[in-house]
Amino acid sequence: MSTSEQDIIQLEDLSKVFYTDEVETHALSGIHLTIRSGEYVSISGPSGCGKSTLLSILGLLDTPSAGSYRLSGHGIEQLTQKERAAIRNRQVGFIFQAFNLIGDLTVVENVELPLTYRRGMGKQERRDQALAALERVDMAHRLNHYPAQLSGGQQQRVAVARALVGEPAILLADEPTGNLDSRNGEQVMLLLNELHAGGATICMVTHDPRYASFAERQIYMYDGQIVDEETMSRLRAEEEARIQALLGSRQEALAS
Amino acid sequence: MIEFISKRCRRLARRPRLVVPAVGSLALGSAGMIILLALIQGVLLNPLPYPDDNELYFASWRFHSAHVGPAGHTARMARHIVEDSSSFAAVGRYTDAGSGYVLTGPDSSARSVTGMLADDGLLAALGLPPHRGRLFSASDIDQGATVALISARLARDLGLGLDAVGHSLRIDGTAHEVIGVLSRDFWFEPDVDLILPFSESGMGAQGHNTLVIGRLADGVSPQAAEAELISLHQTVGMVAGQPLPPDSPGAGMVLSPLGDSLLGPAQRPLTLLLGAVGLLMLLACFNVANLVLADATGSRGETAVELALGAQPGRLLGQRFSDCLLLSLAGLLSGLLLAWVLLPLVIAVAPVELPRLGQVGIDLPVLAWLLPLGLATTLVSTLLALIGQHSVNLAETLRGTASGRGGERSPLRRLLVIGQVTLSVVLLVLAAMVAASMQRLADTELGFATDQTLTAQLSLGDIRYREDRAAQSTNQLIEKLLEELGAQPGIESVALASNLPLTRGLNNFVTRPGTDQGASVEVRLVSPGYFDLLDVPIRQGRSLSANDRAGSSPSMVINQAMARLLLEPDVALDATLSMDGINWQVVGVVSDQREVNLRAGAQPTVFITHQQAHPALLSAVNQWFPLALMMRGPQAEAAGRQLRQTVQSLAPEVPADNIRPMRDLVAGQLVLERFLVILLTSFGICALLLSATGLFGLLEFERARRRHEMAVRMALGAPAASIVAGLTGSGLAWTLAGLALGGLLALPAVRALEELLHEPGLADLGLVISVLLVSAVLMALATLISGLRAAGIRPAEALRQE
Repeated sequence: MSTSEQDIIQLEDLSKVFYTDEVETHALSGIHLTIRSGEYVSISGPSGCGKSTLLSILGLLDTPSAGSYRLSGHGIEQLTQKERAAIRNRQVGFIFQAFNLIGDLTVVENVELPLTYRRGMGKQERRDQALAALERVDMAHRLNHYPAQLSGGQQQRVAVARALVGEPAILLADEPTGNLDSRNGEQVMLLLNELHAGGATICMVTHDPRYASFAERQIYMYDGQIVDEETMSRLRAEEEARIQALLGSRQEALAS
Repeated sequence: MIEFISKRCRRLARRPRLVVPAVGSLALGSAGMIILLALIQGVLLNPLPYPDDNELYFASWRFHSAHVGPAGHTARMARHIVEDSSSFAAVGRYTDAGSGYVLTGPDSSARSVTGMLADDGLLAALGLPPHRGRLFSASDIDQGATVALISARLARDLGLGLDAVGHSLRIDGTAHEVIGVLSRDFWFEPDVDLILPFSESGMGAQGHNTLVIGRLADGVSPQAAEAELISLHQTVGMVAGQPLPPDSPGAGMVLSPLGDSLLGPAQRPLTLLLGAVGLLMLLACFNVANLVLADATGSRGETAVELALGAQPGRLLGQRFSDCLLLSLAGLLSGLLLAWVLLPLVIAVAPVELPRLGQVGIDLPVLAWLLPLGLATTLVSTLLALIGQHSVNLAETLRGTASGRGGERSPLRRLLVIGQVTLSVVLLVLAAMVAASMQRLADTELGFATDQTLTAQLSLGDIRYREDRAAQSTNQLIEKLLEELGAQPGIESVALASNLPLTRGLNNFVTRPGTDQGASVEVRLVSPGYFDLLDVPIRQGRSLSANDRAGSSPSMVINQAMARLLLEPDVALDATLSMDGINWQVVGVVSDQREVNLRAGAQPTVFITHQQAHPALLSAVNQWFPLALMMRGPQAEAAGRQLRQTVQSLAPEVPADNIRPMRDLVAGQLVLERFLVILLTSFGICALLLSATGLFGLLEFERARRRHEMAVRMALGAPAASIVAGLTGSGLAWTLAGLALGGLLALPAVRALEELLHEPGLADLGLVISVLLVSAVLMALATLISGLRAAGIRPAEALRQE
């Protein structure tokens, strides 16, 4: 994994608009964001604020509607699908909320999977790297198990190993604790902390403030925009007040 | 129940992706099945139109020679059967139906009519009363009365209608009184329009030309009747002081059900086609089961909700059954419609040799087949769908987490697709083998030229071409025809013969004087120039010429097969052979030709001129075989009209029929093969398309099932090509399994129809490989399309909860 002090991610005035039949939805607008190598960043905000959309763009799973995105110093706008796939494979490691392990493959085969998409890597080399990644997450003893035979926490550890195995420039974690109980959730967060301590660059999306606080830098999003912590608190307070007002008027209507 | 069915109908109506391919598959399969059932019902299964037809038996003579099928008896043997046998309640004699009867109209125009000779016993045995008038009496036969029975069709064509009885018709130059109009149900193969009283004279002493049908007497078994006939044959032979006929091991009397004798030749091709269409129907059922399974998988949430609300598990069975039933019904009805449109086209290409084609139609007996067919289709589809169905995990399904992640494979669906590919390969290999066989037959070296040649058949049934007058009248006609037609512009040569190449002709017994060697061989009466016209090479000696006329030394040309049979090939020339008590000198040896049909090799054949033929032989030939006329030249094939006019002007009593180019005559030999090829290829192509559809459907199911997994793989950096390869790899693996299995199963299937194939050999292996390649390409295309669709999955879907 790269440990230089370069900017890994640079977003300039980035926006994303979704079009359905007659509806135009601005999922992201005016996003400016820089993530430097070795940083541990969390992105939090309420549901529908655009966190996952941003993450999918950061991970080259989707393309922005406007603005600029540079990954490791290179613009991604003109890349072909093939080039995007190659960059995803070498520079990005994904950790998904639902783990997304492939049920037909064993633990070690799941971890090897990103390496199988690289040319020129021998089977033994792949297996060695997969074993090393599994040892890092303490799952080397479950090599030949299938995902269905593991607990949720164990599955997520395997998913982390899969994200690490290709030595990507950045780990992107989408609600990594979303499908876990609090104990397993905390263990996964500790694992991410360990990885960060080892030099990994991590960008984590979460709606849970407790887990967001594990990151060294917290970014807040609201209605498709990045806001500072103070603004976020104010917006949340306003939202709370609106809801209370709505509930109050509703109760009055019922009473009369 | 009605509400339940109504709901399932509404549900199906909202699922065009299930209904359209399922109904389409079943429509194709059932249309083929209905057409075949109509053919089989009409040709084979409908009872013969005679009361208690299972008591009717055909008594035939089996020659030792392998190339000759069941034959009739000598006239004397047939008479003894009729007079001396006690096994039959009624028994009678008749002759093969032929078109050599000439009916002369009031305006002196002559037409040939398909007719036969029969005695009173035959008509009594058949037991079919006439539509009008009466049948022959014993005295009609004994006295050789000039009476006739005609069909209702001929009565209508002649404008006589039902009043035909009592009218006089001039048949073969002699006035005959119509004593009866045959029942509309009277049927013989080919359809007969005229029956004249049977007469033993003219049958020839040794010719096996008299056929016998009998109705078994009460309490007599077919085996007992056959034993009596065998015994009778031995007794008659001893009384006559000589074996009857020249006997050999393996020859003998055979008694077989009349239905088998008349319809037997149609059984094998129709059974083959029924088997083929059965495979097609099975394929369609596989498709329906696959589609219902895919639909069931996609509707797990719906099923889980129903179960959660308290529906009994048995309801699932009812749903699958009703879905399959409704789809089967829709498929069958669509198939019925398709069959109704296609059946006339199938009949149009069916060989005329297929008996009772006129009775083929989608009638009540055929419609009655639809019930078991629909039930079988429904049951097979339902059973397969139930076997392949996964149990529903209610909790996971309702939470929406029962994804396709691992474990939920569908081995049955894969087996069904492999089975589909296998069946379609078997069908296509069969079609290809029959097509190759047909091509080999078409490419057969005939031994004679067919280009620029027009042929016609002239019926010499008129009395002036019979008996004492036969020689003079026939030879005069031949001379005039050669002269007149040879002078036509664009005609380079003209020849006449006792029959056309590739058609049935005269057999006669030929011996080698001074030895005990003799054999029944093909005899052809030909005009000078016959071999030149057909480009038949003269291997030794000379051709027959105008000098080989009555009064000159009897000259005979033989073919090489004849030389091999009775003579030493290198000393055949100038040898002497005896026929009809006359010694003939062999003046020439010609190359072998396919005389009888395309399949049979060259038969031993002797050629003599009409002028030198024995008058009795000429009279018999004129009675049994139409005179074959051939004209060759640049404009010959377009000279049909001139031919007819010339014949009409020279001999108005001689109708000219079947005017057609020689190459059509050859093509006519391939009608059965062409029919089989058309149907088998159609079934094969349908099967292949159904298989491709089935494979595509399964891959689409896999794509849907693994959509999230593919998105994850793409998110992890898998290139699109890898995703495509992942899906198509599975498809190709199933295809290869099906192809291999199909190739293996095709071998016994081909062996089963070896008798229908002409000279099958190792060269056909290339054909099988070609079929496998074509199938593989189509299947690869189906997998590629599905694979490319998989490549369109967006990797961002990986971030979504399934």
